[in-house]
Amino acid sequence: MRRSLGDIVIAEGNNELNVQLVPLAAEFNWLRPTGHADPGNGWNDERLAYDGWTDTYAESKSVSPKSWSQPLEFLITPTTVSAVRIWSRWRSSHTAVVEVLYNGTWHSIYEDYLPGYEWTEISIPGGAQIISKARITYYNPTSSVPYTFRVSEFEFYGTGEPPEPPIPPPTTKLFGRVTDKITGAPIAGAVGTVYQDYDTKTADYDLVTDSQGYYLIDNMLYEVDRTLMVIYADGYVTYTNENVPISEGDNQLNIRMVPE
Amino acid sequence: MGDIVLQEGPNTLNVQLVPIPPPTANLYGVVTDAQAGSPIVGVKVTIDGQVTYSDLQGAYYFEGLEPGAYTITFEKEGYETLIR
Repeated sequence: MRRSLGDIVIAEGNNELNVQLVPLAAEFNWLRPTGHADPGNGWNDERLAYDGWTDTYAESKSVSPKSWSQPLEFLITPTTVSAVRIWSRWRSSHTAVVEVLYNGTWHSIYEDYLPGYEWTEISIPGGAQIISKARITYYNPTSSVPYTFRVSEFEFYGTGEPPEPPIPPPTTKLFGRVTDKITGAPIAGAVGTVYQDYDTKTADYDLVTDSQGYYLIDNMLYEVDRTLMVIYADGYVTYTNENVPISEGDNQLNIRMVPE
Repeated sequence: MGDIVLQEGPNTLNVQLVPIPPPTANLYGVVTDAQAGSPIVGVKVTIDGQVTYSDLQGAYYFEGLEPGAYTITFEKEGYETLIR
């Protein structure tokens, strides 16, 4: 037997060596929830509040004036958590209450206006806790206006594994055929642009019809504030549509252009 | 006066010696968390190329080692590796 030259001398017979291992400092990451709950059935599209995209959101059902929304709960495998962060989309006056569950009790960690369209980080007072649940509730302080509240993203700052890449949002397409309004003949080589406004940004897409007059725009945004479309073709009146309805998935819009 | 009687002429005496087993050493112990004090299961313990893992009580055990000086390594994800 090869004998390694070390510090431990082992004598004939029984030798006892008890040791202690020092835990490594835990690494914290922003973690997306692993699930949600909507115990009051007061929310829609809950999954979109933790899909990794701030463009998409969960939306509350209508909340009456002087009323609280139902809580939206976020679940995580029990993890040491020191903070949470929220990307809310509500700019009007409101109060948001954020709570985390530990030691079998809900603890409020935030009761204030929650700024819209930015991350708000909220530390857990007194330091990290082992947490499996958090929830957010909004209050509509108006005297007469019903509100719906929107949560784009919610994340835990905890000791779990870093998250998987975000789930890509569903592909949304706009397609159709451009034809002559009088003859019905396809118009090839018509060019156009589609503009979209959402949040504080805009997006635009160019299109050209093929020999059969078909066009396709892939990977558009949906649930935007507005989608505007303009198409030019030689010999035709420019086509303008200031509010093209775009929903998730496939959208078809056939266009009949008027000759000049 | 002994037990072997030699007679006149050649005498043959073949013998066998029974080997004495070499001395052996056993090593055992318990691995605990330095902060929590609780036993750590599944710690990889390596000594002279032999490997074992601590059990649910944090206990490990090697037997049949040759007495001598060794380096022993304790490894577990999430802990500093201990080399003694």
